[in-house]
Amino acid sequence: MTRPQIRSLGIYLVIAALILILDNFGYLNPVKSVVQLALIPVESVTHSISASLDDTFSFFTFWRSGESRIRNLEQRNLELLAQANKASALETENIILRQQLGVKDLVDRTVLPASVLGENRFLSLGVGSDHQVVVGLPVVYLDNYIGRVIKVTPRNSFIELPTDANAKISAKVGINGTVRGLISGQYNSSIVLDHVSQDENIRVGDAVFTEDNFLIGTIQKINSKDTDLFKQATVKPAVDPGRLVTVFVVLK
Amino acid sequence: MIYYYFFSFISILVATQNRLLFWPALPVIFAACFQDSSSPVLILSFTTGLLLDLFVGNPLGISAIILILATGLVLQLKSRFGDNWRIFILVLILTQIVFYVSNH
Repeated sequence: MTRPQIRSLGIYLVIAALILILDNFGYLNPVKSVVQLALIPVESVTHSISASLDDTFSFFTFWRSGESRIRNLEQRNLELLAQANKASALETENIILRQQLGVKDLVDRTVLPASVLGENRFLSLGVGSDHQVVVGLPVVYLDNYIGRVIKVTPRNSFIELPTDANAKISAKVGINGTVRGLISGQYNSSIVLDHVSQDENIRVGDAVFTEDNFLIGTIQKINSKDTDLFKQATVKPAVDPGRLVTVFVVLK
Repeated sequence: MIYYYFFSFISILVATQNRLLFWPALPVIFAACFQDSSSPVLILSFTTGLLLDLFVGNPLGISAIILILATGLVLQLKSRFGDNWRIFILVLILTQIVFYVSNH
């Protein structure tokens, strides 16, 4: 490299470092807000195209295992239909009992719809602090846990998924379950339920919920041995966030 | 140079939809390999880095620093090895293939 080349490289490095420092202190937030406003439609369109391409390619791989999967799903559908009928009867009975006893609804949530802009290490959403989103809020889709807001800009927010290596979520097995554990991500690709006492009974197929009763996924495999201090299991996520176009931020 | 900017923008969009943040480095490194003048390449790496941070939510400027350093490295290798620098493109492509395969 020649001397002028090294000088111009140094100048750009200094400018980039200055931008990094200014951003760290929040001086660039107004500029970022305006630029991100322009980028949101681009990201949104890209995500839609990416999701539709995924669907197209999955069609080509579906033929191999398709028939047996359809048969399994039909069987599962019948089981769920029976369960739904039972749940419906219980819900009616529950409503009548609540009315008689004058009990208020337990769940009263305010949710904010948000369009998914992209999935990287974090899931980026098109809502931010301008829409009352703050760090720590859970993000769900049809009562399925997607993640937690980890960073907010005026018009964007970034969601830490349960698969993230830094994610640590207190969880329970079964919606009314007494079996408690800790959900953590591994290699940004899988979820592990850990710190479950050896005395507790967990099985493959059990549903795992957050403390707020959002479904994280189902237990796919028990990894630990009887001699281990705690039980550990791999959890299959209930939804693939990369395929979602809209999710909901739980404001309260 | 306009093609490199287009390639860069597309690779940023690809990077926002998967976990491969390595993609936006490709147009920058290719530009550093094929362009005679270093100044437009440095501007490309600077703008690509800033845009990537804005899209992905990284601290603004961090990717620009990494890409500028990568550009500097390629320019240095280019000047050190003279006409044989094309071997680095081959190495770069092989690295990318290994990286992609190991992630899938």
